[in-house]
Amino acid sequence: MLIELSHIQRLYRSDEVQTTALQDIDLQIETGEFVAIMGPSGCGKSTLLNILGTIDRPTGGSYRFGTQELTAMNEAELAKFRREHLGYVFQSFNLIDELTIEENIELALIYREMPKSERRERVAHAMDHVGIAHRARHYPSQLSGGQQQRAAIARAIVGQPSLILADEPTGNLDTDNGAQVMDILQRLNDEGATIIMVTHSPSHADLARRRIDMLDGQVVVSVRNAI
Amino acid sequence: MLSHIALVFWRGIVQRRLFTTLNVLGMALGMATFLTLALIVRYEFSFDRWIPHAADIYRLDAFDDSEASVSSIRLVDALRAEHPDWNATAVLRGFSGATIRVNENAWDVFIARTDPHLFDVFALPLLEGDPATALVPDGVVLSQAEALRFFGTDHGILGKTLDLTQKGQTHRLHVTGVLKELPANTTPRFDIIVPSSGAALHINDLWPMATSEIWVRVSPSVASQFPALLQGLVQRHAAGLSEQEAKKYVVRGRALTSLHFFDATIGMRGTDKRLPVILGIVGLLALGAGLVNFVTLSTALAATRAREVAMRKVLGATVLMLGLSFTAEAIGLALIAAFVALALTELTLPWITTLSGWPIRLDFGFAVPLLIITSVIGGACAGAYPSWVLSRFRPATVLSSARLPGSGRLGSRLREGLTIVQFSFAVTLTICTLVIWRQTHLLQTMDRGFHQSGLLVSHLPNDPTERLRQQRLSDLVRDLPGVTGATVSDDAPGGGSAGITFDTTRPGNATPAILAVIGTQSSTLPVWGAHLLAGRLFDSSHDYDSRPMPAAPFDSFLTGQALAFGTHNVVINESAVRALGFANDASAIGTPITLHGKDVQTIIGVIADMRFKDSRASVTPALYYAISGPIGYGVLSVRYRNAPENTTRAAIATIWKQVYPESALNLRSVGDIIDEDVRPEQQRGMLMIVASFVTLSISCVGLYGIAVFNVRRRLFEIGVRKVLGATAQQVTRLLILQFLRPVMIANIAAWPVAWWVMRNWLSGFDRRISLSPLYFALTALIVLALAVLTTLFQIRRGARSAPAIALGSS
Repeated sequence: MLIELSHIQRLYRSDEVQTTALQDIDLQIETGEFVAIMGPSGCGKSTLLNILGTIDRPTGGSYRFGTQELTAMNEAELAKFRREHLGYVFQSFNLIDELTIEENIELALIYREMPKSERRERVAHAMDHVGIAHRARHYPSQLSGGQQQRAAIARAIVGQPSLILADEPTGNLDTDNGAQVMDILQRLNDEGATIIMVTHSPSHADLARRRIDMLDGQVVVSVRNAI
Repeated sequence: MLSHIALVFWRGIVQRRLFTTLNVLGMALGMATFLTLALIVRYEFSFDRWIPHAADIYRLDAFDDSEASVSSIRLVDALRAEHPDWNATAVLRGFSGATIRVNENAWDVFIARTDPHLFDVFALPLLEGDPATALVPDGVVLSQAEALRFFGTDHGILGKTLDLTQKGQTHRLHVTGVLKELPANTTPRFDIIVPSSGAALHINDLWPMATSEIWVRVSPSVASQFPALLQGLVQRHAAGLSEQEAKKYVVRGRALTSLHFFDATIGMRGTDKRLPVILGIVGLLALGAGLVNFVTLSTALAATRAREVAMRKVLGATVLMLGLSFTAEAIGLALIAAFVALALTELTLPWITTLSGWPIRLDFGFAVPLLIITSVIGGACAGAYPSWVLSRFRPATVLSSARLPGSGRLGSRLREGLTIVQFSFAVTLTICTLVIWRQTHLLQTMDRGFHQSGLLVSHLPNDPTERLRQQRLSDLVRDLPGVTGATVSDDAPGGGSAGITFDTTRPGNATPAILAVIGTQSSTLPVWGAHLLAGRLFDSSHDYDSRPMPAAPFDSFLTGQALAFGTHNVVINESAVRALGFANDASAIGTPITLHGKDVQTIIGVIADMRFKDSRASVTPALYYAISGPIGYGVLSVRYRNAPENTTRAAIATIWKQVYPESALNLRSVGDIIDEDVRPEQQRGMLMIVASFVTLSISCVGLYGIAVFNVRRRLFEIGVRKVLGATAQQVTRLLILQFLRPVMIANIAAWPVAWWVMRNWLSGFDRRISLSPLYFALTALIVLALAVLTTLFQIRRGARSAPAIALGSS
C-alpha cells in the first residue's frame, strides 16, 4: 500500500464561519495506480489533492505514505518528503517566469543538492520524455500552453517521484494539447508511476485505472475503469 | 544552490528592470549622501589624531574669568618649576601681523614664536632639517606652503635667509627646517615657527596677559591627575597678582584631540560639535530614506513572487532555504547600489567639496567597508520581511487563489508605514533647509549697524615707536580721490587688535556691567557709518570728546603701568545701554559712568550695535572713546565712494609703501570679510539643500515604484469601479488621494521634529528669523506637489485603462 488515508478531515475556520472541505475521507492507493478524482466545483477535490501532496494539512485523521505517518511531520520534514517522493502538475503550469524551461525542470533537483552533472543528465532525459528538448533554452512565456504543461510534467517526473499529483492538468489546454498531456500521463503510468489526477473531464477520467467521485467533501463513489 | 540563487538574482535584475533601477537608484542616492556626510563627520572627528603622540598632548589653559586658548607665558614658568618632566612648551602667536621680506617681495604674515621645546611636544614631520637643531636662535621653520610662497620651492632652502619685521624691528632669520604640510584637520597651526629667546617670549610677562598657547606632553596617568596637580598652581606663582586676584585663577588641561570641538565652546576657532552630529543625523536620514525605499520596493516586489515561492515550496524548498535566497538577493542588489553610490560619490565629491568648504576626499579604505556593512544590513532588512511573509503562507492557498499573500492588508499597511517614515525624513529635511536658507539670507542682508560697502580695513604695524606714522598715513589716504574718510581705531570690521573689557557702573545701579572699551578717533564712527540712535557722535571741538592719552588701556596692560584712562565723553552701543540698565537710549545721554571704579566718563551718544564679526554671536556691550593722538595696535579704516575699489586699493598701497616701507599691506574689503563670516552658514545651507533634495528624490523614486506596483495590482478594482459607472477622473482622484494620504501623515509627523530641531539651531544665533508656520505650509505644498507629479502618470494610465482589459488582468 502506497497511500492510506483514514478519517481525513479538513475544516476552514474564520471568525464567524466554519466550512468543512473534507470529512471522514478513507482512501487507499496502491503503488502504480492511476486515480482520477472527479466532482463538482467546491466538492473538495483540490483540497484532497493538496493534502495528498502535503501542501495543506488535514485538521483530523491519519495520512500514511508507505510506512511514514505524514500528519506528524513538521514543515521541514514535509519539505524533504516532497522533494524526495512527490511530483506536481498544476492546471496553470506554475513555471517560474525568470527561469528557462531547462532551469525550471532542474529546480526540483537543486533542492535535493544533486551534483550538477547528474542534474543535467536527468533534465535532458525528462525533456526528451515529454518532447520539449528543443525548447530547453526558452522561457515559459515563449512557449504554448501545451508545451508549458509538458515542461511542468517534465519537472514533476525529473526527480523520479513515488507519486505524481496532477491538479486539472488539461484545464487550461485545448483538446489536442489536452490529449497529448493525457498520453504522457498514461505512458508514465504504464512505466510504473503512481498518478493521482483531479479533473473535470469525464473522458480524461476514463483514461485512469480508478475513478473517485466526490461530493460535499466526501468520497461517494470509487470505481475501477475497465481498460 | 548558491549558483542557482545567483542565477535567479541576475534574471530578476534583467527581467524587472524598472523595479531594479528604482531600487538601486533610491538606495544608491541614500548611500552616496550618507557616505559623503560620513566623510565630513569623520573629518571633523579626526582633528589632530594624526599628530604623533596626540593622546599624550594637552593644552593647559590658565584663566581668571573666561577660558581662552591662550594663557599667560607665566604658566609655562610655573609648570617648569613644579613639573620639569612635563615637556612644557609655549607658542606665542602674534596679535597682529608681521612682515616677511625675501629680496624685494614682502608678505604680511602671522608668526608663531616658540621655545626650543616645541618639537619635544609636537613631533611634527620635517621635510628638511633636523628637529633637534631646527629651533635655534635666528632660525625659522617654514611649512611647505610658506616655503613655496617665499622661495618658490620647498627643497634645498635650508640656510636661506629672510627678513622678519615686527614691532619696528627687523631680524634676519635662516631657514632651519621645512615642515611637511600639516593636514587641514590640525588645530595648532605652525606655518612660520620662529624660535625665540625667553626674553622675546616674556615680553608681556603678566598673568592677565593671555598671549601664549601652553602645551605639555605627559602620560595618561599624569593627565588623569591634572585637577589635583594643577590646583593652586597660579596661586603658588602669583607674583604681580593680589591675593584676591590670584584666587580667581584656575588651570585646566585640555586634551589635544578634544580641542577642535572644545575651542568652539569658548569662542575660539574650531567647530561646534553639534554641526557634525547634525550632519551625521542628516546622513543617517538620507540612508534611512534609501533603506526604507529599498525595503518598500523589495516588499512590493516580493508579493508578486508569491506563486514562484509557492512552487519552490511544492518542490521541496524549506523556509530557511527561501529566507536565505531572498536575503542573498536583497544583499546582492544593495551591493550593486553600493557600487553605484561609490561611483556617485567619487563623481560628485569635488563639487561637494567646493560647495561645502570641507577638504574631504574619498578614502576607499573607509568607504568600501562602510558601504559593504550598510549593504549587508540594508539587504538583510529588505530581505527579512519578504522572507518572513512568503515563507509562512501555505502554497496550496497561493496556488489556488488569485489573491497573493503579502499584498493584503498587512503588506499594504507596512508599505504605507514605510512611505510615511520615508517622507517624514524628507519633510523634516526640507523644512530645515528652508529655515537655514532664510537664516543665511538674513545673515547676509541684515543691517550690521554700519555701512558695509565701500569700506576697506588693514591692520597697522603694532610698533609703539612708529605711531606718528599712523597720522601721516591717515592724512595721505584721506586726500586720495574718492576717499571720504580714513581713520584708525583698535577695533574694526573683521576684528581689531585688542579685546579689553572693564567693569563699569552707573549711578543708581551697583551691579557693574562688563563693557568692551574701544579706542577710536573722532572720525572713526562716521567713517564706519555707525547708526546714531540718541545724543551725538564725537566732535573734536568739544572738550573731553577727543583727548590725548598717555597710554591706551591695552598698552597699560602690556607695559604693566597703572591704568591712566582719564575722563572722556564716550559713546556706547545699544547692548551697553541694556547692560547698564538704562530704560532707553535717550535716558543714557549725559549720564556719568565709572570705569574700573575710578575713571568717570560721560555718555554723549548711543549707536546701534555693530556686528563686526561672528554673525552668530551676540554683540558685546561696548564703549567707544576718541583719542586725539595715534592708537596702538590700530586698524586703518578707509571709506571710499564713487571710485573703483581696485584704483583705491592701488593708491592706498602706494602710500603705504611710502609710510611703511618695511611692512606689508594686508588691505581687506569689509564686504569680503562679511562674506567670509557668512560663508560657513552658506556652505552648510547648500549641503542641507543637496541632502534634502536627494532625500526628496529618494522618496519620490520610492513613491513612483509603489505607484507602479499598486496601480498594476489594482487594475481589476479599477475595472470594476468603471463598470459600475466611475469616470476616469473619479478613479484618478480616488487613487491620488490614497497616494497622498501617507505623504500628508508624514508632514504632520515631521512638523514637531523639524520645529524642535530648528528652534534649537536658531537659538544659536543672536539675530534670527522667526520660525514661521509658512515654512511648514510651504514644505507641505512642495512635497505634496512632488508626490502628485510623481504618481500622476501611473495613476492616469491605470484610470484610463479599458475595463475589459482591467478585468482580464485578474
